[in-house]
Amino acid sequence: MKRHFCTVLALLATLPLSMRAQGDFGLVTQSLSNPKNEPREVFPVPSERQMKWQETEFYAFFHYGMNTYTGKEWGFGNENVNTFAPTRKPDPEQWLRLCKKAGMKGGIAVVKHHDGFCLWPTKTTDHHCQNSSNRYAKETNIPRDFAAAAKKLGMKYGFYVSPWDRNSAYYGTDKYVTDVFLRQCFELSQYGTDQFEMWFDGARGGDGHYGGEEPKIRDIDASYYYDIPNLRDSVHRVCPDIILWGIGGEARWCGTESGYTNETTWSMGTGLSGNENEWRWHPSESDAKATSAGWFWHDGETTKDSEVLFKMYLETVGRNATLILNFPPDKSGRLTTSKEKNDSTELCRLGEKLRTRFGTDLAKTATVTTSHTRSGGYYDASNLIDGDKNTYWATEDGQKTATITLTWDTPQTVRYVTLQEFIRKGQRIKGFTIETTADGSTWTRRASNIQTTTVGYKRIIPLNGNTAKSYDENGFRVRGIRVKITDSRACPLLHTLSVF
Amino acid sequence: MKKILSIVFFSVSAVLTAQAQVAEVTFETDDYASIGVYDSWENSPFRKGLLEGNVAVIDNPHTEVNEIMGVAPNPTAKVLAVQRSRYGSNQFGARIDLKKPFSLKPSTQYVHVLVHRPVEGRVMLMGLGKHREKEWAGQSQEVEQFWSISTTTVKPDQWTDAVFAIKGVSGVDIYSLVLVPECESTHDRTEDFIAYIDQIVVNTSAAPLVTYDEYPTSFDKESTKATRTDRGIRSVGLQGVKTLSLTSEPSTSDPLYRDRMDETFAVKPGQSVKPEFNYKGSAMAGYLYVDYGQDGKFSYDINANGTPAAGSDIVSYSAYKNGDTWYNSVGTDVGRGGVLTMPNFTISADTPYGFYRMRFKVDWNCIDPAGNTDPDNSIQGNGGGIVDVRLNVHADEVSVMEDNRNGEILNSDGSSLVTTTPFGQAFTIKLNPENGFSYNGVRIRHGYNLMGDSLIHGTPQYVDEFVYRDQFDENDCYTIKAEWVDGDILLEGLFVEKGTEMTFDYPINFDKEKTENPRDNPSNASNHRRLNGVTMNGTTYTMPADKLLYHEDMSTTFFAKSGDQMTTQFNYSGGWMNGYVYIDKEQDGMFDVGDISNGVIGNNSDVMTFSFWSGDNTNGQSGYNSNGANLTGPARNVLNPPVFTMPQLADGFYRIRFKVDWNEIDPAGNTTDDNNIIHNGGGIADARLRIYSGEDVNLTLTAHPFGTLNMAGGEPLPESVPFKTALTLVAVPQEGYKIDSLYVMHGDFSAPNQFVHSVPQWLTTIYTSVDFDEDALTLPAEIIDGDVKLLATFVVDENYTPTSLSAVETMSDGSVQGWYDLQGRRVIKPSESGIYLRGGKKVFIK
Repeated sequence: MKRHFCTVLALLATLPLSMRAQGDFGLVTQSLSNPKNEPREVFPVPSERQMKWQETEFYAFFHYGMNTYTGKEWGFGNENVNTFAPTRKPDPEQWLRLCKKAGMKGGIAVVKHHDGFCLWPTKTTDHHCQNSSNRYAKETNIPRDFAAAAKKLGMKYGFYVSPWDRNSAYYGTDKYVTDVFLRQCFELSQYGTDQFEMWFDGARGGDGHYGGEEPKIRDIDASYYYDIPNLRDSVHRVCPDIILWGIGGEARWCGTESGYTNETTWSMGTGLSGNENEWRWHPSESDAKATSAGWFWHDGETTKDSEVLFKMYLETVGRNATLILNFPPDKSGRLTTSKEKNDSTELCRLGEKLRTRFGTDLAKTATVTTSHTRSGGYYDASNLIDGDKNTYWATEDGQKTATITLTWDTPQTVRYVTLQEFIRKGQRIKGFTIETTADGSTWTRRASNIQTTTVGYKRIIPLNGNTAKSYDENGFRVRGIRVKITDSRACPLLHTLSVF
Repeated sequence: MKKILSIVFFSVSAVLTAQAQVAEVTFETDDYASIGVYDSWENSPFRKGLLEGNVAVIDNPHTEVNEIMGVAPNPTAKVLAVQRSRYGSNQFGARIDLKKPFSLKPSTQYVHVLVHRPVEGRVMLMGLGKHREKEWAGQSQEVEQFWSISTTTVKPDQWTDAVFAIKGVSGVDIYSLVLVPECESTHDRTEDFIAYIDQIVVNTSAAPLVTYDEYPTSFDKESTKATRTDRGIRSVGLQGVKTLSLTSEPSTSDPLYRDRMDETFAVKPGQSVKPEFNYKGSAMAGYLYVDYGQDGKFSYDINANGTPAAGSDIVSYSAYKNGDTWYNSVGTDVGRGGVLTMPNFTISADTPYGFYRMRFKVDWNCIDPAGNTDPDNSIQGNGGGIVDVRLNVHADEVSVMEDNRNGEILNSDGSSLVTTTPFGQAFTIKLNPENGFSYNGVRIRHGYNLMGDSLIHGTPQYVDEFVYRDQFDENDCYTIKAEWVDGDILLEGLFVEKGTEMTFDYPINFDKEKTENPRDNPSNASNHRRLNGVTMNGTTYTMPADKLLYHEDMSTTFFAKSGDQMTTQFNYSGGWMNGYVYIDKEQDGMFDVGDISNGVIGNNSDVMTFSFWSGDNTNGQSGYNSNGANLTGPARNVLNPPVFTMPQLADGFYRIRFKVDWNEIDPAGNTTDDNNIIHNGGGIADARLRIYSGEDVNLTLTAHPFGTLNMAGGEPLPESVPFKTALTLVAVPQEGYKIDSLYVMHGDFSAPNQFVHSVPQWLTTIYTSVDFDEDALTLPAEIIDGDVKLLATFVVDENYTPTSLSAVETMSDGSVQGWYDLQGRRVIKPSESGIYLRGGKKVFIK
């Protein structure tokens, strides 16, 4: 990556100092070879690392740390290191193995929350796990073990490191950023160059211990304080695929922690819907809790029913966001498998639902036709069902509406339709409808109660229009499904149309 | 079509000299290092070497004089020209490498760039640079340090100062700037265009060097007044929608232009509406404009038959002579110009929901929204006027969205929050914090464009309302006012960690910080009403002369013991008011009125005494004082309340409230229309009440290595001193030192916190050396209000003349001969304590 960047710089060489008279300056004819008749990008477009991140889709969040042992959600920063006392050696491999069963592709481990307590032997502070008197704490190094487990299981991994540090006496000063926060990020980047996301919480100051020093309330201006441009630069040099979430500016918080995003979700802008007209690619991530209590483990909490978690999946991954679902390890450093709160059971059930409900793509056995197809020979309707994310169907420039029809010789039982845009060239679709036919001639609109507006990376439409009870026993018996694209920023590009 | 009439122009050079600036590129000379193009897009053909940028410094092609300004906005000789390629991304632009880098700062700096381009769109500035510290050695200076969208709107084909706000950490230097002349997607662009760039200045001023007025008028909006009293606009309105009153009688103090963006007129797409004026005078016409394009101006093209042309912003008018015919806006020949009856117009059915600027104008034969400038028929001379308001084009149902962390917002019944709600109707929400969290309240953003700018060309699109926890009910519910449901709604719960919630102690029925007493007017003795002070058992609390209705001074302390008889005397200018006294007995942050019946105060009440209250008898003709005496007629007009007995209270500091109000037991003040405490010129004053049952208080001194404190007679400090009795101390510095400061902490240190519901349980009074007289200081009785902790600090005495003697002998008897002071002067007999010389030794006389 570094070499690539140098090449870019050479190509962007600036002109020597020169002046021209007005008459000398005019438009220069520019053209690019386009033998495949490729559509032009609709800007903004995602970077390569943002593409890789988006494809992770569904991954886990693990809130574990000092709060696990104090029962707090936001520690004050004055906790004694000895309070961190695992009853067994924390086992990140167990966390990830269970989440893999649920169909998750990776995980983010909290390694420093607002209390400033670090779960690795950092050189930036003494407030870390290995300074605890507990024998298991002395062996704890979550970044090391989490990265190793992820690699072993073939999963993606990354870390949550809180910019706000209620323990550090330096918080609020330049020294905190340069000598603590940036160094911690850099230390974490050393635990694996293939990390996919670094998570920066939005909390930005307030009261805290701050080394026992005044002032007790410290607020910062997050618009510059954490030196994000240079953090991004330095981390990317080590970990080229890392997305800096939150204040990092490469992916956004969806706007709620309730496990959904809006039916209309643009990968630009902020909040639940984003903004079609924003200039920056800023895709949405939804953080949600799989358990009944807080982000950290609390005695007596329960795991949400897998059907509830499946609904979250539909309302996040199925609405052009990623889902980061939190499972808090308990005091033993493991996901709980007790009768009352059985993470294992619900994770397995969720995985089973995802596998069975999205296991067989009926579109691959259908005949697919489209009302419009881009010329050039590379954008046929068959690309929609070939399982290749790099091929796509497209219309001609300026053709912003089109109809895609899937037909089967024999009736099929269907419940979900999934659409995926080829977002490498920008998010485009602004409106669509889905219809089914049982007899091949009479078409009925489905899920009309749902705003079928944006598609983006992935949109999953439960045909009964009910995300809470999307999988009814009967489904719809159909011979055909018709997707009408009714509006688009430019010619629509879809790489996949799936039916389940 | 003339759309811009007035231009505000500030000389670039004048601004350059007026503002502290850190960088400047004019292109007049070689004041830049190099130029080129840059694209952030990693797959840009300009990065991959497939295309080359076209950029050069050229003669300025746009030095034309602006017809209104009479000068050229940018007359400089040279400018930078760049071809905006359609193959570049929305972050493609002209790159200017600076000869000398400038530094980012944590405070906001502004980069000004004059831009001239032929298209609409946003303009962006990027900064490329690096850290200069040695720890960052090797960092590329190509790191994108900021992206900033212009805070100003760059109009096509006009030199405009695009202003960019930037900030960053200390230590970062910017080596290159990239001006993106069109930060929009290029997918629909079939042709390139040329943008011109000039006069790059970095300074601390946000004011644009060149500004073009939006929604212009033909006169100065701020200063122009009406000149006639026989003519003027009394009100404007849309029939059946709303009427906005402006004045009952026109006067020459009325502004000619009224910006009433606080007023909205709600309509729906497809609705037919009729504008109307209430105008004093005659022979004038009415005109109405709506900026549907939200482009900062009203276009006003009409067809030959007088009807508005397609896309025109003039939507209705009563008379305008087009050719030889006086038309109105529906093409009817009205025969004359003096017609004020406005035709209906229809809000287009496809109008997007939103707030639009709408202009009412009364003028003579002029469709120009800026107003008639004919000297014989000027809008001012004819008694016309202009009123700008907002038109709210709304749906029947508005969207409801939430944006929460650490909690969720629900419907009042606990179900998931609605996604839509009827326009203009109140609805109730419930805040549900996550485990471990509570809430301070909710931010309610209402209007349109909720994720974007709150102002579009000066027209407000949304408003943020903050509702705090004290306005929620016991079920954590709050009913959003109907008037706030004027567009889409975005709710953000202000969830905070439990234990860190805002406190809402001792509420007042008005804004404590801002509300002034409108009757506080000493120059008008007959109408002057003001609470000047209050005296209770010999202690007086005098209100500062700040005109505020509420006063709080927690350093003013009233002293009492349980069972004391308390006499309250208000010092109040004005008559016909009543006095009330409250004590927060439970120290719970509120004054509980509790049970009061026929003037008898129950034990559960924080009301101590009052001079009159009619209880549930709302007409107030008959009521009681706190002695249970029935008062009617003029007897109700009594200010000072009866003597009361201090209740049994534990030792501590309490909040005591004194209130002058009319017939209102509510400690927060009377809010009735007829007797509002504000309009009546009442007053509320809070202070501390000290209850202490003991006789003595503890006294402790934190030792200091260079001195100590003694009692006035020279004896060491005792461990206790009498409560509320003045205490004289003497500083005793060591040789070569002097007293610097004395911190006196006094109060109840057994309290769980220094502040109990904002009432300090102990205070610190600081004295410095200037407060000491010959090393002596008397602490007033008022601060011996509890245990006392002393911290004395001594510093080197710069006036001290050292001797070569080092040994100090302490003697208790100073009545010996042969003494010298430290300046070598003979002392017959030391009469004061201090250090003296005797027999070649230092001797300390106590």
